[in-house]
Amino acid sequence: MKINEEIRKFQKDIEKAKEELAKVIVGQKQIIEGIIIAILSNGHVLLEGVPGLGKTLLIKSLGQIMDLKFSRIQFTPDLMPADILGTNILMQGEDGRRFFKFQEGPIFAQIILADEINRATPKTQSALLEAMQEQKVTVAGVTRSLGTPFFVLATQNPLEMEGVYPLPEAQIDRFFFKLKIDYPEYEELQQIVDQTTTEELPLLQKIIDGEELRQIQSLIRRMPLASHVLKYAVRLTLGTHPDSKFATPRIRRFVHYGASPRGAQTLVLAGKARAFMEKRFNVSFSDIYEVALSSLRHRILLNFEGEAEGVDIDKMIKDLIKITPEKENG
Amino acid sequence: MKLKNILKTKLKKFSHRDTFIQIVNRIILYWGGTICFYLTLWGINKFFPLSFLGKDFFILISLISVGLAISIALLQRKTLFEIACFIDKKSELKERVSAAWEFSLKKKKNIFTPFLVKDTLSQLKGIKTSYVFPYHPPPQVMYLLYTLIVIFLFLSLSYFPSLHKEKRRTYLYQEANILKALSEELSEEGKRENLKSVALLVPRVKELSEKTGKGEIGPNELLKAYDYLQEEIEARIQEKKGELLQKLNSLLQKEKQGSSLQRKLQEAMESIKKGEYEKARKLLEEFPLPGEKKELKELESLSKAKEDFEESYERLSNQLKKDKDQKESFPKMAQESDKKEEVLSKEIKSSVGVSSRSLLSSKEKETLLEPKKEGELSKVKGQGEDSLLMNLIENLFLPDSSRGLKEREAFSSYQKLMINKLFEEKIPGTYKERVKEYFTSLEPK
Repeated sequence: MKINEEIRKFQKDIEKAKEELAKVIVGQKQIIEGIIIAILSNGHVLLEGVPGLGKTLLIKSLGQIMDLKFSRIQFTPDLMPADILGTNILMQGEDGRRFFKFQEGPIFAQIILADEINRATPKTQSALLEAMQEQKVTVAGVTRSLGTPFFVLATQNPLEMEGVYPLPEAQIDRFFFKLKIDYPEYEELQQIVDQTTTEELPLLQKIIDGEELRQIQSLIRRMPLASHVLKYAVRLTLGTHPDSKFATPRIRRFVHYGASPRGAQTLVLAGKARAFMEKRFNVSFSDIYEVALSSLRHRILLNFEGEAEGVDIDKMIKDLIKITPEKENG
Repeated sequence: MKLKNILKTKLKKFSHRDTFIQIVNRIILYWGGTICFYLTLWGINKFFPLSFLGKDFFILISLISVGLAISIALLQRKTLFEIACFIDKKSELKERVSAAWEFSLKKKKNIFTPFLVKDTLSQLKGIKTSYVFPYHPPPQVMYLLYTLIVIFLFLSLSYFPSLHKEKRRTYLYQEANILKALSEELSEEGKRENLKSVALLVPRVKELSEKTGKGEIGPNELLKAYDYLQEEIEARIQEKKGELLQKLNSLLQKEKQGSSLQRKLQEAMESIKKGEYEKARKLLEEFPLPGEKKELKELESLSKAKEDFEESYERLSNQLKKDKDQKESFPKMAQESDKKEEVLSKEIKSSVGVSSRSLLSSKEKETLLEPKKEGELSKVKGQGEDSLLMNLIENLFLPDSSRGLKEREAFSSYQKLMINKLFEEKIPGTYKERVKEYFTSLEPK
């Protein structure tokens, strides 16, 4: 197949996947798009929202559409790292000899739903996050690779809720996107209620398999990005730092640490994925704006004053986008 | 043709359009600024004369400004990448063109580049250069217009004389200075040699110098005054010459026929006729004729003064010619100035009743310049007549109501002079009545 046709097919498949998801998920278009962008960019997503907004359903549906091995881990305070990674079990052979056999944990899948990740202790959280970063797990001195593509979608309850262990900054940075699920609108809720109380949920088609996803991920990385757009992404990332010349006065006042270089990488990669989904062959400024909130919001750490004032990070990023010129000397 | 080249050609089209607009806008700004600068100098010129102002200066600064505008516009023209970014922004092409241009230049191949360039070219198809780079005059043009309007209003205020007049004033000052120097020279010479007719000329030249310096007399009036003075001096010379020749003739008849003295006397007379007064003076050195020698000296001075006025006349008329050329560069203003002068000239003609070339009619001139014969009346000579000329010239700048008054003043001074002359000089009785009748006919109503 010619490369052009291949690209067109991939773009169509992504479109279809979105349509399939829309069959079970009412509204939440931005969340669906964000999750697909993260998958196409080979990144993980942290999904934040109150319980009952369809986070788990969304991930389950995604697993069905993608034809990837899916597993779900429900995080609880007593969940141990071995419960995620797996453990060596003492076995007895036919000859009566005993030996250790590695029993793979739920992490050995391609799409992982880490439900309520902030309910587990930091020790357990870090076991997952290490696997996310390295795409490998080491148990009893033996390193095992995880299957590719590997995608973790963690959900967390808002930090204001009780009995949660906030994720450490270093670990939260490993998430490609942080998406916030809002409560559905009146019409959307009406549709959700109607859809979920009358009939069974429709069965979803498998649209994209693991191999195709890998190919798309590889293509997306090669998506042309003009130098001035790249510079813009860099300026935007630097603008989140309080001591940067690109920062807004509010960022200078309320931010303790800005986005790490991973933030800039995320902006660019996500921009490329978005451009691919939009059936374009290059990244535009609009792609960067669209992914900026999801890419940067969890990478900005407020200082005491910011926390005390309850500063809205999303608003701060929107202000930064407004004042950052597209032209370098503009 | 390669896709890259097609894209380059497309971008160049946009670039040419942008460069052209930049050049036009810069020319408007720079040349407009130059006009403002020139007009400001023009305004300054009203108070402090600037001799370098003129058509040549204007053309020079205009050429410099236009050259500068073109050079800067070309130097600061956008690169093709900048043009591509501009097209992207204007046509909302989502950075397609800039990315396509940048990646088509890269040596390292990207699988997306051909698709991107193709996609870009198809998007560019429907976009006109005039849409991306529409012509808008630079925003500063409004300020430029306001400045020009303010300057024009300032310059067109009635109590500010026009540039044309100011320029004239510059050279009229020079004329005034020359006249002043001439009057001083004549005064010194007249005093030293006690030359009455030369001394009589001094106050008139001095008065003319002062009035010219104050700007009370225009260039055309000054030209007429020069003309009049020349003719008057010539008349005086002819008169003196006639008198002197008569005296020498009577002396010649007394001398022995064929003697060397008679020959010298004859030669001296010939020289006087030719106007070679210095030679004549040398020939008469042997003769004990102090009065005649003094008259010769007087003739010499008068003839030099006449030459000076001829030169001044020539210089002024050349300057007026130059002015006429300059008027062509500012036709509208020149027309206005011409109109004013025409009106002035008509006023002169109506009040004096003479042609524009001279204050006196040719018939009057003939009468005035006729050499005096023995016993005949010398009509227009002396101080009173000088005042008359100045009064007439002065009259030209006065409103109609006060003009009559000045005429009467001029006439009365002339009349006084006439009465004095009638008593002082030997005039045949029959002529006295005729002279009185003549003045009575001239009396203003």
